[in-house]
Amino acid sequence: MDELRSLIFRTDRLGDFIISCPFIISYKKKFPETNISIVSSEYNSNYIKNFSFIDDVVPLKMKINFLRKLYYLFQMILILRKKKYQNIIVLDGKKRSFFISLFLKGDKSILLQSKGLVLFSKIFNYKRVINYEIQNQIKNFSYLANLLNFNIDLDNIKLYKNYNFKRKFDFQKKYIIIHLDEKWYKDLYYSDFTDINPTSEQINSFVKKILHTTDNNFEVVITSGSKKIAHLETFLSDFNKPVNNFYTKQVNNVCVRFIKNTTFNDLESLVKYSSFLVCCEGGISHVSNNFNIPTIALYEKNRLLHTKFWTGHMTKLTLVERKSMCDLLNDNQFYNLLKTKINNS
Amino acid sequence: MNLFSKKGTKILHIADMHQRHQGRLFYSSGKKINNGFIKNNFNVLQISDRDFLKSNVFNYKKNSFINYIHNTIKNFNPDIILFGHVDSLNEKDIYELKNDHKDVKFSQYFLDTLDPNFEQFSRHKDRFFLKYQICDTNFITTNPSSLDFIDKSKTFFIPNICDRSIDILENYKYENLEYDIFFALSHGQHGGILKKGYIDERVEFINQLKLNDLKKNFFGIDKNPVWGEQFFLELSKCKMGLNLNRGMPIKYYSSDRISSLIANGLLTFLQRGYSYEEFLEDRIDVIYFEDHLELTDYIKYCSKNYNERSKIACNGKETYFKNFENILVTKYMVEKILEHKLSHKLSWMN
Repeated sequence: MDELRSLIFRTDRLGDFIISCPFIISYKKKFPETNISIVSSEYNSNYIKNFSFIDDVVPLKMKINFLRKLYYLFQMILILRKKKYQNIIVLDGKKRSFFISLFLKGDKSILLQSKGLVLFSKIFNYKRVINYEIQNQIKNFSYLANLLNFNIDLDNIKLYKNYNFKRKFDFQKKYIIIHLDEKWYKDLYYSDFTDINPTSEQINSFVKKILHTTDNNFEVVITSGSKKIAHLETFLSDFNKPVNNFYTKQVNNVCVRFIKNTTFNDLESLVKYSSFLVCCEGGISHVSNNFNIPTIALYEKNRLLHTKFWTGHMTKLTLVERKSMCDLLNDNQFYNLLKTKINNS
Repeated sequence: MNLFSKKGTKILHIADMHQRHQGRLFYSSGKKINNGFIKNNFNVLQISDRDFLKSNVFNYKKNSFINYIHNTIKNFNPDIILFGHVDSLNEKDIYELKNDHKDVKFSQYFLDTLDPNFEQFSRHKDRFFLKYQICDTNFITTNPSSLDFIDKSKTFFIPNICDRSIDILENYKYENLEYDIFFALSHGQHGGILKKGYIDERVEFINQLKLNDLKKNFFGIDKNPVWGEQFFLELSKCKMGLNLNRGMPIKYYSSDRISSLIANGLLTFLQRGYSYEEFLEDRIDVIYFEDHLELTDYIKYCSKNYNERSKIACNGKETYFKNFENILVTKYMVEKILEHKLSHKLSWMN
């Protein structure tokens, strides 16, 4: 008998993949015999391999010139066409994924991200759900699951069960993470966002305020993203000489650590054992949600609906409006909130 | 006194209120739900979709219907919009309504079976799914845990409700009634009459009952179903009633005839397999049967034993109201929709 296979397209960012995991895990629970292959972005493919509920990852090369891309797409279609799938699910709603799926054999469904594919998906008889932003997207995933006759039971989703952790850090004391990535700087992120733009001195003050708020009971670990931030270089000037991108210094007799060029795997491992996370809303808040770590995430005021679309299902997340670092330093409500959340956790 | 200092819950109830049927369906579930809201002192306003859209050739009235809803929302400012079987609005219409009124809680109730083995299952599922994605809460008459395709975090069971102002009969008080057993089926309540060539599996079951020496008041088999006050008149003449569902048993589902029978004091026979034993005790509140042979024996025995019949029927009515009265059910619905703590916890509530 042929092996039972299902193919899921998720060719976008890490956060998109993580938020899709409850859907994929529940699908696997409903159809345990099925072999799940993910068509992912090239960037995500290695990361996705860490999850035991995924049997195979097919990376989609997109950062190549048009002719090579076309050649590559057709090659991919020819390979994927050799198998018949129980379900082909275009979870990213991308045109490229829809295009590939058109040539494949199996029952097809799509989570539509835009109106562009509504008509075509109707013509080609896809089960379709529109990923409406007026509600958190887990509800839209859930509706697609229901159309495919299964259910997402969020309470029983253990994303990191059997996950291949590469734990590099083992801190003895409890710690709070400040994830200081490019999202804090509008020039490196969305130009229409409120610029938090923390300077080196302000980062220092922010760390001190957090230490003070928590009565120096927690250490602070500062993590960074992949983009180079000039202020961070200055900020690091009074840290001890680094060992493997790992900087330390003492503030109020409490250890403050900085991890330069933090990888996503490092972040997962750090978040897992942390007590609290402060970040700008993004992929990392999905990680903290899966570890049940209380989190304060900064969001852009005029994008509240969009933010809730991504985070509405996160029970331990508190959203705080983005403001300049100067305002954030003087925002007593922020520190009161931090204290309350830490005390309650 | 500042009128706005005391804010009550406002509900816009969009469902078929059967005005075009001129009173023929005054005891419909939609009516009982509406009455429940009023009895709970909620401020409820109705829009009867099918009356509004009567003679809607080529769907030309749809836009004016949607405008009517928008204007009503604007004028009434409801906290909740509760949809009944409003099949005229599709997913896109519901999305646009929700998008324009994000602070209003959207909810629906769906009273038809969602049993996957039922012959018209996919039609029922499609109708239910028209509003399901956008509705914050959904209420169904089947246990959600029995259905694979239902999000249990936003879908809840409600029973077929009874209403003290409608279900007023007390047949158990009378030893000598004209008929022994009542049964009614219809080929759709809107048409009201039997359709030619339509085969209902329940007729075959009824024909297997050996009740030659008993007086039967059956509708929907050889004679057309009865409606309105005539339905209650015929019901009032009977000692016992038979509740028979189509399809395979599924947890908690029943058609709404169950409330018409038990809540009006008839000794009622229920099929096994629907888990109603969790609410109504066998031979205490109702009598459960497995097949036509067992049912035949029970009907014959109970028709002759008034005391036993009366006691069970009386208990049944009392238990049914204690668990499924519209005041309780609609309060539960509102508490679920508004995510409030339940003020009253009964075994069927989750």
